[in-house]
Amino acid sequence: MKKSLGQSILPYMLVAPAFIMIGVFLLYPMLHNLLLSFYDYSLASTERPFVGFDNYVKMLHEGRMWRAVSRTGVWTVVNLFFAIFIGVGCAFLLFSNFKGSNFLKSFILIPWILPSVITGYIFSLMMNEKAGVITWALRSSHLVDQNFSFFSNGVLSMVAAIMANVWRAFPFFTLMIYAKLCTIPTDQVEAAKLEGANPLQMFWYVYLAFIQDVLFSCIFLCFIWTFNAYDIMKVMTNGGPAETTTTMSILIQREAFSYFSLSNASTMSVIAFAIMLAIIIVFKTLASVWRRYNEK
Amino acid sequence: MKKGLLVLMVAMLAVSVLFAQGASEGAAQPAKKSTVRIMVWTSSMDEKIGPNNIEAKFEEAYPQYDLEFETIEYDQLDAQTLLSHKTGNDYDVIMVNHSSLPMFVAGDVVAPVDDVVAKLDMKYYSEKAVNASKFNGHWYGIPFDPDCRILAYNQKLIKELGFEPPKTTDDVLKIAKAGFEKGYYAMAGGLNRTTFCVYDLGGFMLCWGIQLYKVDENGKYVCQLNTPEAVDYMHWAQEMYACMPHDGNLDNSTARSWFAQGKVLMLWWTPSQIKSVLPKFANREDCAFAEMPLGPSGVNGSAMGGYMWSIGSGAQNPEGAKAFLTWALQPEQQGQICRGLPADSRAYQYAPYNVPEYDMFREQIAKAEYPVALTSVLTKVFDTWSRPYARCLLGEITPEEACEIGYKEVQALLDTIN
Repeated sequence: MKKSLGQSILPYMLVAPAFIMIGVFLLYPMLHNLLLSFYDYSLASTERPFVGFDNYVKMLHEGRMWRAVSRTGVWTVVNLFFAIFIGVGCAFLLFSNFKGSNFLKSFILIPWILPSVITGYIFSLMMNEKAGVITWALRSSHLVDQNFSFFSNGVLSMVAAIMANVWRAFPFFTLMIYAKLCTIPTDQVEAAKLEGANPLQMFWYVYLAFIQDVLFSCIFLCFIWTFNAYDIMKVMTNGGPAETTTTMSILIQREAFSYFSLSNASTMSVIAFAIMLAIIIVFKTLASVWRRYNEK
Repeated sequence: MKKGLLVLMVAMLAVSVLFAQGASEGAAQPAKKSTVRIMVWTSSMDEKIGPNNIEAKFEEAYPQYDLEFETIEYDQLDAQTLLSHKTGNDYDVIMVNHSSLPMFVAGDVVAPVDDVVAKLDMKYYSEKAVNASKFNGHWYGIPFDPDCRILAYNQKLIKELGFEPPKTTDDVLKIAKAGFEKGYYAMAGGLNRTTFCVYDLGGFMLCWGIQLYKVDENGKYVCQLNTPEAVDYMHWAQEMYACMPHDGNLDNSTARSWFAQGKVLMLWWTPSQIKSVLPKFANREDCAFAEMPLGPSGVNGSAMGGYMWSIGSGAQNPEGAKAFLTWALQPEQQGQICRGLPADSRAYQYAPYNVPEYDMFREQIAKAEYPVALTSVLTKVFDTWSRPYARCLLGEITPEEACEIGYKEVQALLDTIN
């Protein structure tokens, strides 16, 4: 049956508002940001000369930027590792239906719901040198000396921020994986048990194989969020001490809103985007290779 | 029914027109006022400008102007100034942080205020503060809310430790070490704050007679971290920090509370702490003040900060702006407006500055100076120096290494404007 003109353009009209919003609030700022990276532009300057790729050449030789990239890498990898480990562990724990698990399920999302700024402030207070409960607990149990402070050096400051971010991030993994586990076909589990599979084999060949799609999607999303994370680090450490916890997002924010050098900030953000995109492509390729290997 | 409604609507319209006509014919038309848009920090408005009815007082003296204050949070002051200029929506009067003025001058964001300065009696102002706002022979800002640091100390605890009130930087260090052994912190502040290396513990560098950088006889900016005084200062700072809390994230409120609670022996003290910290002392007599300690060269340097009034280069009402500045900078008004200290020393005769708590500040600000010459790369210089400074204080590098790294990096930055 031949469609009328109205019927054929109706779908496009229905999605048009969403595309307009994406264009105005996403595409235009991204393109403008890319354009700014080819100029020498500061809010505090009167001129805006075109400099081509000079900004990129300058940034590629900028030690501060590459140190921030490496810190962002450490921050992202360590966060992901612990969020996956704890998140998957909690998901299986909830799936085991122990006594009280139904009660716990209601509270598991609380860290995820709290705004990350609030999480940062709470952890800062709990890790306060004089009055923090975590610091007090560590000192009382003699695991650290009496002058211990989470924010006394770069490594410990990073550890503190990672602790806060992992606490906030793991419920996402828990919820997604637990939801997937609830749909696992029981006949597969029973068949594996009948075949004599031990718990490790059950986990690797049955459960992990079943949840891998959801797990990859969660890792993918969490990677993007963690790579771009700003608020927790800003609130807890402000990138210090001595810039030892300054990640890419903090460096870009500082360049844009403390130094008002918009072209430098734009260039850094384009480079950060390119790095993230490259990692995502590699990750997706590896994930599809893994899936094909498992299917064989 | 329809006819009845129509008649009712027409009648209502006629009555409205009648009343409007009456209002326009009867009352005398007030003279048209021109608006003066003023951008101020929210705290200044909340603590001084609002409660002291500055708007009403000015408009009574200058009925032809209507003041319109816009309050901005501290960390948005610079961004708001720049963005309003870029969008052609300049404020008439701008409250400018002293460290941001050179950036605004370089970006043509502020206009010269020479004619306002000409009406003021500058001999009552700090010469260093006034000259710092002069660029290319013109004044671009007028200090109205400067501040400086003095030394506050817990005299009861220091006496218990067996010491006299500190007079020199050596005294400060001796008290610091003795107090730390007894469980007290020498001073307290957050190392992660950029201003820590220049205004807080960093402000004591002025006691060694040097600044982070200065202007030489050729007008070039020269970093002073390659001097023996700088290395000597860094040794002192490293030893002091060993007696301080190592929480780099420590915020000012917590540090000041600890001081009031008797956990911290000494503190760099600013005018705003008189209201916020003194009431927290269980016994007010425990807290005493002194000028900044004398350094090895016999200098007691005090880091000055604070705010200036400027006029936007694209101001819609520059005459109104100048009228407001001329009025607001009178000594009797300054005390009602400034949050830190008044820039005009005659203002100390008026409330709230005519009380003993401000005597020490009055003496100190006469000798205070900005910790560095004001330049357009000031913020970047602070961030650049704060890295080796923090690494030295944390014991990762020696004072010599910190000065070497700091000199190289800061001078490289200064050479971009030399």
